[in-house]
Amino acid sequence: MSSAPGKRLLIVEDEFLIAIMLEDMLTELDFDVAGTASNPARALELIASTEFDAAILDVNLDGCDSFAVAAALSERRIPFIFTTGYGASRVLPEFAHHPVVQKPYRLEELSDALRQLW
Amino acid sequence: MPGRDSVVAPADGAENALPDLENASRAELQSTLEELARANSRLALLNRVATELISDSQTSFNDLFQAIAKEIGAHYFFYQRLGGIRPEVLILAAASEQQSEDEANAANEILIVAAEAAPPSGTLALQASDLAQNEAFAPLRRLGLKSFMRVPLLAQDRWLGAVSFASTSRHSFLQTDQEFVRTFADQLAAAVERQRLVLQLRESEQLYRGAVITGRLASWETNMVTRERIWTKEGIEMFGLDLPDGRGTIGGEHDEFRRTLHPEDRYKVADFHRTADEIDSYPAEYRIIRSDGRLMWMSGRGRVIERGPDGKARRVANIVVDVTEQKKAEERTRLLIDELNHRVKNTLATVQAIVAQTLNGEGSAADRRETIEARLQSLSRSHNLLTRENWEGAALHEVVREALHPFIRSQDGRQVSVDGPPLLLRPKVALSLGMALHELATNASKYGALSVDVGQVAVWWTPSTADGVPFLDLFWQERGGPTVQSRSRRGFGSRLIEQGLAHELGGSARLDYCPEGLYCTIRFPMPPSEEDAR
Repeated sequence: MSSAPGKRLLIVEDEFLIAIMLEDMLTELDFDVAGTASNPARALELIASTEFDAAILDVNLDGCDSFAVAAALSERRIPFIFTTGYGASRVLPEFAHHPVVQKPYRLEELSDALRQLW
Repeated sequence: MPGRDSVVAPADGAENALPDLENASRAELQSTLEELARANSRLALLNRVATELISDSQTSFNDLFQAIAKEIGAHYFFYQRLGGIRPEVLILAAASEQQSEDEANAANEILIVAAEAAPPSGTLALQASDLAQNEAFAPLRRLGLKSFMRVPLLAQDRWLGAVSFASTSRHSFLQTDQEFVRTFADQLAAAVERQRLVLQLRESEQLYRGAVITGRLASWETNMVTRERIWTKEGIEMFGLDLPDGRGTIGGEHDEFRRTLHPEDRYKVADFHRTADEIDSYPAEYRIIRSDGRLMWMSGRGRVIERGPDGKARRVANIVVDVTEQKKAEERTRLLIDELNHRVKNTLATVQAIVAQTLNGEGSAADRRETIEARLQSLSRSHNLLTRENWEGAALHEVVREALHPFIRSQDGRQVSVDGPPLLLRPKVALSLGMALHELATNASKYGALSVDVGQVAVWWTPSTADGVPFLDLFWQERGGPTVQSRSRRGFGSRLIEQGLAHELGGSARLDYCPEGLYCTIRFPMPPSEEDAR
């Protein structure tokens, strides 16, 4: 476990309001936001083109799931956490070891989940 | 319930009549031999009756009556069977006399009257003097009948009808004749009762089959000793089995039940067998995959109908009902609840974001509270709109109207103009656009065209294409409001519109603070046609 400051994060969240809240929360926790994607295609683009240390993945992206993004991250050995309104049962078994934060989440919950990554 | 005379079988009668042969005179011996011969012939007749009654045909009934009538010297017979209020006369015939058709018909009518006049219960044997005394039997006398006998048909003390015989001779139907007819009547009653039970069973079977078919029920019996299953027609049909003789096999690769079960439910077979050894009636629920590939949900019970000396189940009756539709409905409900939960959680997160963003914004505590309330109300109105359409989408016209409605100052409709082709927005687009329009309208009511009575807002949209991709351009233009000051601080509203819409709709949005009024252009991918969206 190392300290968070300076770590760069990718946000994958389709709801803009939640995305900007997440940006604000991450800033408050001394993380840097490397980018924000609202759909899987944009997320995969950012994964290929941007440097970042970890990601926050919404399980449901406007009706699609984000497991393709999760697979791309796993392949690159980039740690990530899930956020979801469905409950942890919606996460595929192969990704079950990744932390899941339930919406709506508190700053502390987000912080705790992120700190598990390092 | 009619009383019943003592029953004496003809065989017993013959035995009782055995005389002291050593001391008998020749005439007495002759008479005894005649009696024995008659008893023998009657026994043979009763034997024939017993055999023929089993064959159940009405014509043989008639033949039997003819034979019985001849045996006891009767000229007429009739057979009444209880059916409804009055006994129904089933067979009515002259046993021996040659008659014309008219004479026979007249006789029949008279006999019916007599049969109905006579009280039906108990054995009745009347000689000429009795007939003369009873006015009810006067019609019999007119036919020249001098003796009459009627014996009730009884099955377990239930009166089923009666058989009657009439004779033109004065002294017919003595004790032995009565006993003989009595035995015949008992045999007939047993046959009639058996026929009734068979009919009842057949009706009950038809009723059961009807219920089985209507209720989509399948049943079969499992015999653990012979390792066999005996299937009903309905069971074979529902499980889609190929068992021409209706017999299946327990265990092994030919176990038709196990093979039809969904692979994930096959383990249950062993569970059922174990349970049957311990419990008499147990529930069973599983999926089957028929040979035609159809998946069905079955739910029912197994019931142990025989156990061995060791207490283990030997025979089990199974019945299941097709619950596929219910299961599908349950699944839909589960998905709906899941989806609802997801939406509620997402909405709560949105509310959380709205509150957090508004608290970070400008204005007094009271202003911020009011802003939060207005934003939540706007969100709530968008939800109402979507709920009205089953969350399948919302009309763009409606979304615009709902956003502007709370801020319109005059009711004459001149302040706001809305124009564009009818389009259906997906729920997510409707929510985002609704929120953006709310921010625009709020801003207009505070600083722009809707802050004064003479101000006007025009909203219109038009399809366009960029690089071959269809887009929709939506415009918001304010006129007649106070002169717009370019704003240095970009608040929540402008962030939501310029970044949020672009983010969520995969389009772009621009705010122009023109001095004569705010001008906003929003471009997003063309919503699908109404048909596709629905």
